[in-house]
Amino acid sequence: MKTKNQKYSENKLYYNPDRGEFTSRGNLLFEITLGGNTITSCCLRGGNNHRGIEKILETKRYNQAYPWLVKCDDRAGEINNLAFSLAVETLLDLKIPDRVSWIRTVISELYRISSHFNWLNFIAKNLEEYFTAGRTEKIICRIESLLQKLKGRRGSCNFIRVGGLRENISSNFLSDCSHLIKYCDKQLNPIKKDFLNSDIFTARSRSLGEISLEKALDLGITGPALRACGVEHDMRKTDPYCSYEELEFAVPVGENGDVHDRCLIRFEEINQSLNIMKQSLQEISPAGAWQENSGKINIPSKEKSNSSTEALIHHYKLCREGFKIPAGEIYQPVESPRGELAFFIVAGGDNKPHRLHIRPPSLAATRGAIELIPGNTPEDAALIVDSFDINSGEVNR
Amino acid sequence: MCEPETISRINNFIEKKISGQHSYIVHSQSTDHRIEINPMDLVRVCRELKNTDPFYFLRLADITAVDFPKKDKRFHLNYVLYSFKLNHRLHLKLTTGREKDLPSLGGIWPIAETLENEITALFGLFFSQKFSRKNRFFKIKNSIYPLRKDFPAGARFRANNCKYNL
Repeated sequence: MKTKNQKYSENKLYYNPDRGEFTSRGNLLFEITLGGNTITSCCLRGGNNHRGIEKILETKRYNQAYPWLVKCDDRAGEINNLAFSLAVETLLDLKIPDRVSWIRTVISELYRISSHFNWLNFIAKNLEEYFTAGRTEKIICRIESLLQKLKGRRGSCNFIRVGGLRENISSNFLSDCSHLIKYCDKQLNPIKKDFLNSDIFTARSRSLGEISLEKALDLGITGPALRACGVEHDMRKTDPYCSYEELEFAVPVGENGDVHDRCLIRFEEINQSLNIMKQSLQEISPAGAWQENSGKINIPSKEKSNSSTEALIHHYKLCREGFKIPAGEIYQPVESPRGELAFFIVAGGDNKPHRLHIRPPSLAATRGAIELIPGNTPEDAALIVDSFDINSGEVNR
Repeated sequence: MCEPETISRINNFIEKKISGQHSYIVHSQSTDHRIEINPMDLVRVCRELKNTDPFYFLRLADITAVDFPKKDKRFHLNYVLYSFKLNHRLHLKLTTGREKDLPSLGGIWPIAETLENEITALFGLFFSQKFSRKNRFFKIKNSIYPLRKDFPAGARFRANNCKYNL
């Protein structure tokens, strides 16, 4: 019998797509109401991870925003930094060296691969395919160790800045990337054969969680989930940024909009990202410019500030006040591993943004998952939610 | 992305759809195509833009609210629409001093309910959807709207019963 103070009722389940990471732990609960073995309704219990990032960033200077932006996404935080930097650079009308664009392309694809392998690891563990999970964990460790060499720590990062990069890439980064690409290339076929083409996965995922194209558009779904419905829409092709205009790559597209198509598309995107990285690595020279030249946006190097009074003054001003942006508005979208990630910045002529809004792709995906869950069993509901690759850090911000 | 021909076609189309008394301002910047629109015309214009050939703005990408406390029309709402056919992004800007009975796009795009719920919780702007206490994004104490400029950044409050209603 249900009492007034009873927190959990008998016919309710709580599913937490928890990957055990610092931005997603226990912060997004799907409250599922059961009628027998099928789900009758679903809603979302969340908000525990709401850190007030948008409000906080209104009080921070533009060059203090990077650590906060990275907190929105645990596995591809650098793409948040990229979108922010592109937006601010457009408002400032800055010209970025070509070498920086190519390096940014390589880094964003590296994070895309890391995010997709992380998702694959999670979904393999949920389906108890521990062999595949072990393979993907090895790959993730190798990517993390490469990123550790690049920026000094694993996990959240801070490499892409407005005006360029935090520092120049090391001499071994390019060769390490090419070794990683060869290693990942070898691992993809066994994973596809053992997991994605297996009878168990195909039987469970085919015709599960089908969403029509009209519904996906009405719900604002983007990214692999929209491409699974048959729309060849990728921000890197339709609205190219960095160096994507000069690259040749395919955009994988599905037919049915079900769980199987969403998973296959993400896997194929890993392949395309490796292809993009191979092409980009040929364009990057080992030595060259790694930030724009004016010295008024990024802190100048030690040698310059020790030898030039002007550079020293810029160094002091940047640390004390930051840089100012003339009044204006910008909406900058990029393609994140989950869909269209966009930044809407309203600049007031000051060194702090008047309003900074992050458009998360996971919010629409969560809405889509909630629409699809009723009528399925709890196990299938878990698979549907996992196929959308929802990040609670983005939804809650 | 913002081709001049596309911009002029969309501007001409919208000019015919708005009510005769209220004018609109076109901000044709190099990066974004922005149109300021009256709240009375918003729903009709969006429905026409979604369903009419050759525009087909099938996707509502985002709704953002901005607070300018020193201006008469304090709240600025920015609606971002996207057309796959034209590969064009349109920003419809709505300025209002009202906090209640704002036009809702929930009947055209269901995702608008989610985005409007978020704005209601954070800015205290109420849209004319079927709104009740149960449908709130967060259940916060009355008149505490964190993203308004009069709410201090360092303040703390407890959000009770954080049940999302997307």
